[in-house]
Amino acid sequence: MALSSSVKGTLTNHKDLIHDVSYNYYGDRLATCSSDQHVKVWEKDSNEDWVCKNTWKAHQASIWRVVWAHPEFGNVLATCSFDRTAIVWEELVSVSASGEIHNQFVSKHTFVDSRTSVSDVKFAPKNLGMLLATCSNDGIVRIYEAPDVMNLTQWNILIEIGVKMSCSSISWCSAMRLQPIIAVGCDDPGSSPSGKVILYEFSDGMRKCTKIDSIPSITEPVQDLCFAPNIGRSVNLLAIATKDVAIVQLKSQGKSQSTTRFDQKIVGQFTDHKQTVWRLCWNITGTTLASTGDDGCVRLWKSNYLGTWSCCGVLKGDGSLIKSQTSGEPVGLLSAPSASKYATS
Amino acid sequence: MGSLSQVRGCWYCWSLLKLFVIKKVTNMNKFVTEKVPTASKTFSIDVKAEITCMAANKEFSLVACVGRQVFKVFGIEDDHFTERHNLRPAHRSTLSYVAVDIVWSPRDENILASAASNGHVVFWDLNKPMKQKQDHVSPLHERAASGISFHSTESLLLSGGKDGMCKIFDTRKREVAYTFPSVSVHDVQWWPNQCFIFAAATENGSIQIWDYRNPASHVFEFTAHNGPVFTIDFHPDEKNKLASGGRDKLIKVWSLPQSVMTGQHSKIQTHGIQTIAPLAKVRWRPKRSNQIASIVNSFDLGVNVWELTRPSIPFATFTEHSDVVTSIIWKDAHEFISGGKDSKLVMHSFKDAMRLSEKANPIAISLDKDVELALALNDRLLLSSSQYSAGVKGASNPSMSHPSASGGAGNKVMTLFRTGLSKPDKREEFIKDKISSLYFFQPANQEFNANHFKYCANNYVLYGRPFEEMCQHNSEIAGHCKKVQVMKHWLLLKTMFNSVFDAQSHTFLPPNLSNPRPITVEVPPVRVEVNGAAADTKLIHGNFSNQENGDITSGVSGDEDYDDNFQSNSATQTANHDFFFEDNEIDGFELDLDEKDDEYFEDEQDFDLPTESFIPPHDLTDAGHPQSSLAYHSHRIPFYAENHYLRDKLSEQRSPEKISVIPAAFDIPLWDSVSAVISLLHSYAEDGDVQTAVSMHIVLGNKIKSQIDEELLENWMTAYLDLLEMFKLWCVSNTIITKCSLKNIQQLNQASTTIYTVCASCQKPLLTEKCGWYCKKCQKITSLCSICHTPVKGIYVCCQGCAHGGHISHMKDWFKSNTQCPTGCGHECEWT
Repeated sequence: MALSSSVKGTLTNHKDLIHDVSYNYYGDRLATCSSDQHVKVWEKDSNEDWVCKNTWKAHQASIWRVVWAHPEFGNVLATCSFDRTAIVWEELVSVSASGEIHNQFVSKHTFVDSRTSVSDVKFAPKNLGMLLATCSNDGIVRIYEAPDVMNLTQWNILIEIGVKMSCSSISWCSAMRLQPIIAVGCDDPGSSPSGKVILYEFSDGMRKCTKIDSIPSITEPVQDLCFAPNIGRSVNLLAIATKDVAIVQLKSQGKSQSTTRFDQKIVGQFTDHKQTVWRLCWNITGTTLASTGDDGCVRLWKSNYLGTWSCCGVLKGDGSLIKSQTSGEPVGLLSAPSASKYATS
Repeated sequence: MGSLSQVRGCWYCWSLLKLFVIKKVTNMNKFVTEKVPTASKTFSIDVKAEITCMAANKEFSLVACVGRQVFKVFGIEDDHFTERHNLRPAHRSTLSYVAVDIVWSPRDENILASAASNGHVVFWDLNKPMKQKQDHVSPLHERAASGISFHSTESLLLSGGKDGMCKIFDTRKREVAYTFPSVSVHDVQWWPNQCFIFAAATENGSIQIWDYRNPASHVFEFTAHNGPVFTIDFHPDEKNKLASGGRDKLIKVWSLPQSVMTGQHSKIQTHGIQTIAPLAKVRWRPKRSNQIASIVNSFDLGVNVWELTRPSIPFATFTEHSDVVTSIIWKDAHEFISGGKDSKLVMHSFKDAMRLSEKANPIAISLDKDVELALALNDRLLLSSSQYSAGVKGASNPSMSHPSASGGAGNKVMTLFRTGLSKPDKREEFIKDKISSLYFFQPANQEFNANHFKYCANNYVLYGRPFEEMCQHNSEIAGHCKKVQVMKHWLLLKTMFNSVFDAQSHTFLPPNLSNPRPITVEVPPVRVEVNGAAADTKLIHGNFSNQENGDITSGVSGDEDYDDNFQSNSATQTANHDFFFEDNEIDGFELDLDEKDDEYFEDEQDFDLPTESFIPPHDLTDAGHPQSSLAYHSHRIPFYAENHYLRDKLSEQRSPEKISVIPAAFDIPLWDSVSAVISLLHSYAEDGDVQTAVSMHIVLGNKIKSQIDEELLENWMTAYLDLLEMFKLWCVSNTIITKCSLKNIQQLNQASTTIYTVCASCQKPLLTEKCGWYCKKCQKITSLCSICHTPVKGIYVCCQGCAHGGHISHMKDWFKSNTQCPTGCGHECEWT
């Protein structure tokens, strides 16, 4: 289980901290956003190196997040910033007279409803259409809809949810068999008896969001949270970054009074980062979780066949390896050596 | 003091190191040596009315707060404010009381001056014995006054007004000494230590520098902002440093010439800070060359302190106010007072500031589909992660912290880094913290391997070949990807479903029997044939006969007609019994399964290889395995557990009289193969391997039809299609869509395939017509080929000049030999 890695360092030319990086759907483009109020879009050149193709001043303050929409809607980005706005950008490609292809990201719509810093912005799963959820430090989650996906300058606000705590992150659950779920993480320093992660059920038809649950065991301020891609599973995994990395399993218990009930179970809670964990990311099948924190390390987590999550590798920022898991299997029901063959396919 | 010098020592080392490493060190030791008052505290008072401007006396013991409804002087104590004077009697409210700016005389601590919105400048004397403290009113401006400023040494008051005048008022003579014709002025300030010079911020975006000895014209003027300049502030210590803020939401810092007398009026903009709203005030933080506080007109309810070298993120933010802050006054570097529209007067302590830089994540990641990991990382964290590793090493090796003990120069550096990082207040490292780099990793041991996924997606054969062949092929494909488990399961599928109900390999079966559903009692004779045929194929078929018999047993228990059939059936079975465990069959098992499983089968063999055809039922039930073994199987390989369960169930169901007629097929393991396979697919999907689940489902096709909840299956299909699209495997994706049995999925590639046509002559959409090339309104076919005169249903080529055209092949042929339009319109069409 050796963890080998090849590192390519890239100078970004961002004048300040980069707060978010985001691959597009196909993984062939990358967007970064920074406190220097600029967004950059990167593409791979012929040498497989990432080169910056577009850079523009997008906001008037630090940009916290950048996300890509599903390519079905075009090359669309959304950003959110400390300047209280979120903006939807669309790539316009023009061919000049000399045949040069020129592309440019144009601001399509600026969401100015928030009175405070907008801390997160996320597009809904594509089957819901062009929906965008934002959350802000004043504790309000807003969901917008572009009724005409061909015209992204028109957005209507669908729902405003008052969370009553400063929100830091938001995540859509993409499970198709359920009503869409929105998880909201709060970074409010105060104590909250019901926990800092709240789950809302979004009913598309009724145009409303109903609070269905919260995760009481998460009491530390939440920096980030992320639903694993569902891809056909019956359970949903929600990763939460506080001072620790927590993985919560949500299992639908069927409907009661028109809302889905969930059976929640913490399947993993890890203090390995020892400091604030800032960002989480799942791979596309929802089998590996990557987390980063103030310790400057990337940790990769995955579960074994018993559903036990454990760290499978630690990468230092410059790519050198600090630790990789060498012990093959955790002690469990399988002790016979022959059995482990099944576990490690 | 000793510890302090130690700290400083470390600091010098640290700084030197940093000089080499980062080449950017501002005089950091300054911060360490400066004494930070520990007693300072944040406190506030509610003045019950909006505050628009404030002034504090020189000693900072009194502060005057003025607003529309309030004109009070408060005393500043250690941890609270006390009301000293109320300058606004309740019964009097002339406009003179509504100040837009107020200043405290620097020379007489009882004298205040306020600029009123009616253009008057009002003087107040706190020493007056009566309640009425208003001393003198001087109507300086025709329109609202906007800013006033006392001269630091002389008894001169500078005032700027919206009427486009700057005036200097002599407070002793009580008359206007000088008048300066300007444009509408928003703010005025004396240039410190240049006693004749002042600056004025104007409506048209320029800053004017005046010498009051020459009221005729300004010394020089420069355009500072795009739009009005609302505020200016000279740095209290660095005399030629001027900050300005305007409606364009920018704070700009200017380096002015050392002396305006020399005639060289060069000014340089040294810094610019973008804020989120038009500026209301900018005020330098005392004793800091590079820090400035700003408040804005709207939106932002806090006071931001900026570090000029890091203009993108506020160094410190104070969020005590719940409405726009209108005024700030620095006491010293660590305390300041602010007042706002929320009626609050707040004394801020710098240590209670909110540091946005601490809330801003210095690190970010993203994973792409190929499991490439992009990491944006602040350089400081790179150091701290090496520190982390050093710390780990140091923990295991205590001598590490002692450089001489560990010896190596590298270790020494490491130690310095650690002490260097741990000692200084991290907050003062604000400036250095701002550089991020981007890294890309390809972590190797991923659960999900993109190349394997692509290889499997491209190479799995899902249709068009005999079942066994497909399984065998796919198993090899999985084997190439080192997916041992998937490989084995493909082989298992091949073995389990290979023949009995496969209509293709058993054409002699009636067509209705190709259905994998259990055969019903209505056709018992055929059932015998089935079993016989199965036996002839020499492969393990226990599963199917079991299933059938199981169903029959439960379905027709007590049916007398039935026993005969069972008898004959069992006879056939007995006759064929030897086939089941021919050597090659056992080999087949060994090939497919693990040692552990072989054990299992050996057990089965021990008891399943009787020479007689009848088995006592209790043997069957007792032949189970120890619980541990069961537990193991149920965890990883659902078949066997299911199998056990089913067999136990079957043996329970059997009535004792029927023992004798139980066919020999029960001798071999009983597999409810369909449900076992279903649970296999489920387990793959739950493990995130939807590719295997979907591929197996398609290959199995009818064999497990409608055994999986359609909604769930659709979910799997959509998930797999989504993954395929992510990898741009459009062909595979289309194959899956066409081969999928679900209607919802099949519809996917038929969506948005309609071409809508419009009548060329009347623009009527032909959408509603039965055919897309006939316009009812015009009564004609819309797109006729000029050559064959039939409607063109595919690509219509037309000349841009005469608009005539037709089938592309016809036009091509025509223009091979002609240059003119085929319709005879005479146009020389150009064919390219």
